[in-house]
Amino acid sequence: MRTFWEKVLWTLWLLWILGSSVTCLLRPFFDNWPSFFTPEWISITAHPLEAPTLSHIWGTDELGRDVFTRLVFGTGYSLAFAIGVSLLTTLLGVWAGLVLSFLPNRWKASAALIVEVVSTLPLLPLIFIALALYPGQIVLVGILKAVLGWGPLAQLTRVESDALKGHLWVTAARSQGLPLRTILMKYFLPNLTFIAMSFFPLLVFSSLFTLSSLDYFGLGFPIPTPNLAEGFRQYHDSPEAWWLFVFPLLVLSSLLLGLHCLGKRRH
Amino acid sequence: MIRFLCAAFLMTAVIFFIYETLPTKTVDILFAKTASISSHSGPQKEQRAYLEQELGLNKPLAVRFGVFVKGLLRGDLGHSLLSRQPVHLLIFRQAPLTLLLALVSLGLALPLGFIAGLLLAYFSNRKSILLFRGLATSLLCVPSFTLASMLFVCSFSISSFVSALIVYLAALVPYLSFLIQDRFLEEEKQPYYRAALSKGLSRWSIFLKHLSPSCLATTLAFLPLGWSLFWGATLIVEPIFRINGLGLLAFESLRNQDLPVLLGISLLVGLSRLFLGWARDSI
Repeated sequence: MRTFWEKVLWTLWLLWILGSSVTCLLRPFFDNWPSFFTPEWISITAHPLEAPTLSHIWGTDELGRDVFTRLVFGTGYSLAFAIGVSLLTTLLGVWAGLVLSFLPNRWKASAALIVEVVSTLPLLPLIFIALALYPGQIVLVGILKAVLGWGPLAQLTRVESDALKGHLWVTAARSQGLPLRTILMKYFLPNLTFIAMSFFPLLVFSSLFTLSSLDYFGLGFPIPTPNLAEGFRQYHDSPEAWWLFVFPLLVLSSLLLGLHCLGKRRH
Repeated sequence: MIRFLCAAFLMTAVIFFIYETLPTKTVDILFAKTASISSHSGPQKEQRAYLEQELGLNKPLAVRFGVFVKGLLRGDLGHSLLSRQPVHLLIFRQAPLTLLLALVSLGLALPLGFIAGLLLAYFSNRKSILLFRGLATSLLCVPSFTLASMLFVCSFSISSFVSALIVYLAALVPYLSFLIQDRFLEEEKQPYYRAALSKGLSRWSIFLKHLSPSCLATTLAFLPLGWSLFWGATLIVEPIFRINGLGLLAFESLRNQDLPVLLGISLLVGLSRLFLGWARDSI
């Protein structure tokens, strides 16, 4: 049973995520979007590094932009990236897990070795290499993260798929002459969806974690795209502006905390 | 051992091919970096051809990989594009500080995580432990750079080394403590625990005398994962505190597009992680 405060916190968390995602999705479709609610907007009356006031409830950053607005859009963009990467990782992981499960026995040891190597590849140094070759290519970072991050999910999927293979209904389906492809698509995938869904929040968590770390150094989203870590970078240069640290920390850590709890709960 | 060697070879190949075939612009970067300092003068096209020949870039990928592996076995990782010094020398020069940080942070994190996990499991039924569990979960969900930037701004009297150590411990201890807690709670379900309880032993003594030895294995098994977590954090934390270690070297190499150094560091991190995993499985 969830307590009252748990319900309140989850509602706030969902509202923030849905609100920021919907805002980011809708903005391109509206020509007369209110200019004061855009991440680039700088008010004539606002000063750089203005402490929270009624007009800027979370203060302004070093250029005089509204921190609240930038965090709303930053959440939306970061989540879009993290969800995209996680979807790609899930696709690769489930597919690889199925392939591993149905490989002939003589290939299994080699395949397990490949999964082990992929799972232990150093992600961040390789992302650094990619960014040194292609500075500011966030899509490349996403692809690299997905390509190197499918190992754990593949292992889980393989275990589950091996367990499914032992069921009588699989033997029955095969003895009735159903092709393997049909059995996989019709019967295995729906059963594996549960694994993928329970792993998904943790994948989003991991992607968001990596992205925000890169954003902190200006290696993630190209400037001036709003992101979740720019406030910390500015706080580094202007330590008196506490709101550049407190509010981004609140948003980032509660996003990650929510995803972590969701992942653990589903597991 | 053969499995480890195969995995190490495969990892070297994967890292090398990622480095070489990321729709490769490597030659352009090498050219831009070295054209200005190359002794060979002449038209740009010739200069480029000369550079490709000098660095062996005109050879097929498989041959280049063979040359790279041969060099790697001798400890030769190529030369830095920026300083023109051998990469292994640069790594050796900056590794001691990072290794010291790794040793101290992992050396502290293992006992601290074990104790925290033991306490979390022992008091798992009490409400007062919720606060500590909440704190540990929160630390798990706070990226290293947030804590590092806060410490950088606030702690003027603490040295960079200690600040970095705090960040590493904040990243490692909660992770390990939850693993240990789960392990203790699993062990609590075993028949020998109930047998010891029925013989009149106190819960605390059973935890310390009988459950702890089996949970110590989990602590040691955490080492490869802890090593990965440490590297994930050090590449972020060292540039923030300007600690002259491998994390800072990697970051500066990224800024200067010094690809051979990044390749060397990637290999070092990947192979050491693989080695620790193999050592854990062997033990």
